[in-house]
Amino acid sequence: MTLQITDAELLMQFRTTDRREESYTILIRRYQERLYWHIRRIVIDHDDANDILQNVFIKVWKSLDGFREDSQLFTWLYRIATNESITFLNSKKKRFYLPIEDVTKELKNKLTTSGNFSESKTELKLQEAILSLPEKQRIVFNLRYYDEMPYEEMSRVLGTSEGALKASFHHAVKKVEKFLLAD
Amino acid sequence: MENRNEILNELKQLSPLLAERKKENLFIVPENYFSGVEEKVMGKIYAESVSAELRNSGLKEFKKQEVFDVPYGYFERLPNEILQKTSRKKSLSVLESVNEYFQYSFRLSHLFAATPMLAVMILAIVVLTKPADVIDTSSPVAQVSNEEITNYLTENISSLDESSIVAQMDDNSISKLSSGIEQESSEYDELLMDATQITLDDIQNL
Repeated sequence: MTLQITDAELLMQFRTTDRREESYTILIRRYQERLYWHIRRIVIDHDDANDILQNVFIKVWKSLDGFREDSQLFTWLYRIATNESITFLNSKKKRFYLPIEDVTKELKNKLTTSGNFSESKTELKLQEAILSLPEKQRIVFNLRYYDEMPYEEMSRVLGTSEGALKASFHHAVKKVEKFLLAD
Repeated sequence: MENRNEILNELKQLSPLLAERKKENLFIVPENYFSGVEEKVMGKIYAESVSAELRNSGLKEFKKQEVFDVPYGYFERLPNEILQKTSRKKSLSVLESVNEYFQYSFRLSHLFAATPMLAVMILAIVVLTKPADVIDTSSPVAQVSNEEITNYLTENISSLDESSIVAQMDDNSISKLSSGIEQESSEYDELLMDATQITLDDIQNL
């Protein structure tokens, strides 16, 4: 079995043959990096991102038989990863009774104190700017700026209209630019 | 759907600063991290499926069995027993009301009667159990007999505060007093028990 197999073929193999594990391993290899970076940009910390990524793949394994293919597999995976990451941040707020500002502060703190970050000061500044955005706006900015995701696809991932996403991205860009030019 | 150029053009229009900026990755991942993800995920999936299978097979092996036993014919007798008790309760309710009233008044009158008696007992214990070496035999108080003290205290009981009397007692005296109170209390309880045994027939016979 090669990695050239399409998503649809992969799904078919997963559902109809006794090579479920093999098909699923290919699926993990295909999407793990993109999903990891998407999750990592939301939760910042590597260990948290690793936990969430594994949970996402376990959830997908359990519900892949029921995936109706209304959307692309890739969009569906992004949707699950986004929801898991948001749920993780919300549970963190609830567990420690933290207001959103403190979670943002903690995430910013991790950028400077944790070992899993490069020493690029310009990039650090950009990440701080992105972290100053509201949660949903931050996700929209990341999907558009880093993943270069079309609004149509983003709309399926986030369940928001294209118009709203466009407005959200425009606001986010202006805020980030202002933050970068502030010093 | 938009292509990559359209996405970059939008960014150029919104913010030339961001569009011209080289995208670097601030985040670092541990070496060979991605080569181990699939193995970890498949390991967890396998572990979950095994534990689910164990749970299911474990439940199948155990048939639902009642481990407790009841006396023969218990459930057949139970409805009748309950009915008997509820009907008896109805017929006794009037008598119980009378009983309750008597019990309450009985307890209250005993409480009033017992208070000065208790105070006298406390004082007697304090005075009589006080070690001899503490009493100064040369003082005028030492010349007064115990009987005279008891009489004096009985007459002037209303001016004495019980808490200040108890404060003067040691642990030994308090425990002696407590056992006395318990004995009295059990006697009262016996009396009350007797009173609750009175039936309507007994009252009518009176």
